[in-house]
Amino acid sequence: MNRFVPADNLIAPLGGGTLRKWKNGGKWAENLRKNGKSEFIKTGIPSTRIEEWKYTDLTPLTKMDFSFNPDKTDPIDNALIEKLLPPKLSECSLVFVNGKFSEHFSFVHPTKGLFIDNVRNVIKSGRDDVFECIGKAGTKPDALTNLNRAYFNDGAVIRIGKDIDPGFPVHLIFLAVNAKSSEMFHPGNLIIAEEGSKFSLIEEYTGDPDSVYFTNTITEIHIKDRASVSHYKIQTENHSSFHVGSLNVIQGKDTKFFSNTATFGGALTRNNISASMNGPGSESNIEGLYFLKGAQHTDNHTEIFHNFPSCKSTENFNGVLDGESRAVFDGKIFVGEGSVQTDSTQSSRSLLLSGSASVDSKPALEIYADDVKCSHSASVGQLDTDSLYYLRSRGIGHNEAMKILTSGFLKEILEKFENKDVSGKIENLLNSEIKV
Amino acid sequence: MLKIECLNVEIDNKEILKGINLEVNKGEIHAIMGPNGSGKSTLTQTIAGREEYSIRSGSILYKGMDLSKMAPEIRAREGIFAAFQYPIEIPGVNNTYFLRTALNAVRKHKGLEDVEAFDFLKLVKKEMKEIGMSEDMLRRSVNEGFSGGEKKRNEILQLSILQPDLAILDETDSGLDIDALKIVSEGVNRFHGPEKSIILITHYQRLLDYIKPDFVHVLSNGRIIKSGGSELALELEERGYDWLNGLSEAEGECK
Repeated sequence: MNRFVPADNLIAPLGGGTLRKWKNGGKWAENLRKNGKSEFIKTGIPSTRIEEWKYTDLTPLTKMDFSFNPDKTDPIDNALIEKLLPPKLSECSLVFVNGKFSEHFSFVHPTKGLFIDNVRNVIKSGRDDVFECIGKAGTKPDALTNLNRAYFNDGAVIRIGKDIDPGFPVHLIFLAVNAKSSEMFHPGNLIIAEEGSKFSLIEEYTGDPDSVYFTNTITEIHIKDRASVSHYKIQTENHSSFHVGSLNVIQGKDTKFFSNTATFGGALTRNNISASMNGPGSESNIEGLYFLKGAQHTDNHTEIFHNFPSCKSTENFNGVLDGESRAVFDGKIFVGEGSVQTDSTQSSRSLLLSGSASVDSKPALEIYADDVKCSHSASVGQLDTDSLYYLRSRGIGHNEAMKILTSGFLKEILEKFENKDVSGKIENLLNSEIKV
Repeated sequence: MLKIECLNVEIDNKEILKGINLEVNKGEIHAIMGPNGSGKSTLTQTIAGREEYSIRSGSILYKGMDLSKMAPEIRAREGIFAAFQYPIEIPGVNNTYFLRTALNAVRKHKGLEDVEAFDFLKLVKKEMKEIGMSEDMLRRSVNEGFSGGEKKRNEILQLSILQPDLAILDETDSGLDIDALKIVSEGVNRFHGPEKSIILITHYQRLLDYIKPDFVHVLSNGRIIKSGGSELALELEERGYDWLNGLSEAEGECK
C-alpha cells in the first residue's frame, strides 16, 4: 500500500472549481479553498503507512460516494431539528444543521467586546481578512486539513476583545439530520481571544441515528498574551458516521488553555489536538475521556509544544472499551531548545470491559532542553479487584459495583471539567451508556 | 451470632488458617491478638467473603447461615461489616454517593425504602461530626488522598451509617495518634450494644484501654493458641508473645 491513497471522491463534489461559484468567496476565503483543494489533490488521504495514521485506517472513506450539499433545496423540517437538537448549554449558541449555519435555531447574546458571527456571513460582508491568521496554529496542514479548507464555507468566527470576560460560554452545535446519501460536513471555526480575555467554548457534534456522514472539522484558537480559554468537545455522532476533528491552538505568554474532550459516538473518530505554547509562563491542560462499544474506533492524537521557558502542561486521557472497540492514544510532548523549567505530565489509561477490545498507546517525549520535568504513564487493564471487593463488602451488588467503578474511572477526568453544565450532561450520558 | 469450627483457609495453595474455633455471641466483644503473619487479616477477609481466600475445611455459621456460599455483598446486607486495615482508594467515586448506595442496598435487603438524599445528608453529617471528620470528605472520592487516620475514620463512619450486627475491625488502631484513637474508640463504643457484636483484630493492647473486650484470643501460626478474659491482653502487653510458643491448642484439636 502506498503512503497516500487517492481520494477523488472526496473532492469530486466541488466539480472543476472551488466554492467561488456561490458568489460569497472573499479573497482570504478563496485563497484557503484554492490551496486546500490543490494540496489535497496532490496527496489524497494518508494510509496506515504514515506513522501518524498507523492505527487508524481512513481508506474506507475513499470507497464512499460522498455528496456535499450546503445549499440543499429541500429544507429540513424545523420540527424534526427541534426534536433532535441537544439542550443548549449556554444562553449564546450557534447551531449548524448538516454543516450549514441555522439562523433560526441560533441565539447570539449581544455582549460588549464579543464578536460572534458565522463564516458565511463574514465572507459575504467582506470582512474575511480575519481569516488571514488561519493556519498559524497547529503544525503543517495535513491532508484532512487541506480537505476541510477546500470546502471552507461554514463555521463560527468569534473574537473576544482585550480584557473581556463574557461570563458565559458559547455553545456550538453541529447536528446531522436526514443525511442519507453519505454527506460531508467541513466546518471551520476560528476563535481569537485577545490579550487578557477569558473565554469558554463548547463544541457539540451529534446526529440522528439513520444518517451516514463524514464530519471533518477544524477549530483554530488563538490565545493572546494573558488570555485564558477553556474548550469542551462533546461528541455523540451516530455509529455509522466518521468524525475527524482538529483543534489547533496557539498560545502567547502567560496564557492558559484547557481542553476537555468527551467521545461517545462515531464509527471512526479521530481527535487531533495541537497546542503550541509560543510564549513563556503559559499552561496547557488537555483532558479527555471516551466510552466505546461495538466496533467503534477512537484515536486521540495530541501534540503539545513547549517552545518557551517556564510553561506547564498536563494531559490525562481515560477511556472505557467494550465489545470489539478499539482506541488509540498517540501523545507527543515536544520541549524545544531553551525551554527550560518545563513541567509536563501525561497519562493515558484504558479500561477494557471485554476481551475483544484493544488499545494502542504511543506516548512520545521529545526533549531538547535541560532543566525539564517530564513524565508520562500509560496503562491498559481491567477493573481493580480490590476496589470491586471493597464496594461489595459494603453491600453493593456485583453489577452495581462494576458500574460504579466504570463510571468512576471516567469521572476522574470529568471532575476536572470546570463547566458543571457540561460535566452534568456527560455524567448523564455515562449513566445511560454504562450498563453492566 | 458467629460460630467458626475447625476452619482451614488457604490462599494460593498456602494454608494460612489451620483449624480456627471461635464463637461470638450477641453483644460480645472479642479481641484477637497475635504477631504479624499469624492469620489475623485472613480471618477478617474470610468472614467478609474475599473470594481469593478459599475454605478448605471447617465451617463458618453466621446467624445459623453457612457463609461459605454467600457473596460478600449478601454478607454485608445480612449485617457483617469488616473495617479494612488498608481501606481502598477509589478515585472518581464520590464518597457520599458510595455511602448512600451501600446504605440503600442494605435497606433494600431488609425490605426498607431508600433513604431520601436530604435525610441521608443529615444523618451522615451528624455522624461525621461525632467522629471529627470534615464535611469536605463528602465531596471527595472514596478515601482518595485521605490520610491514614482519615481513612480509618471513614471506615468507622461507614460502620455507624450501615449499623451492621457483627463488626470486625482489622487493625483499626494502627496509624492513629492517641487523640484519633480515642475518637475512633468512642465511635465503636457508641455502635456497641446488646444486639451488636464486635471482633477487634489488633496488635497492641492500647486499643483495649478504650474498648473493653469480653474475651481475648491469641492467634499464632493460623491457630488460636490461648483464650481468656481481658486480663490476657495485659499479660501479653507485659510478656510479649514469645512465652506462648509451644502452646498448641486452647480448645480441642481439629482433624
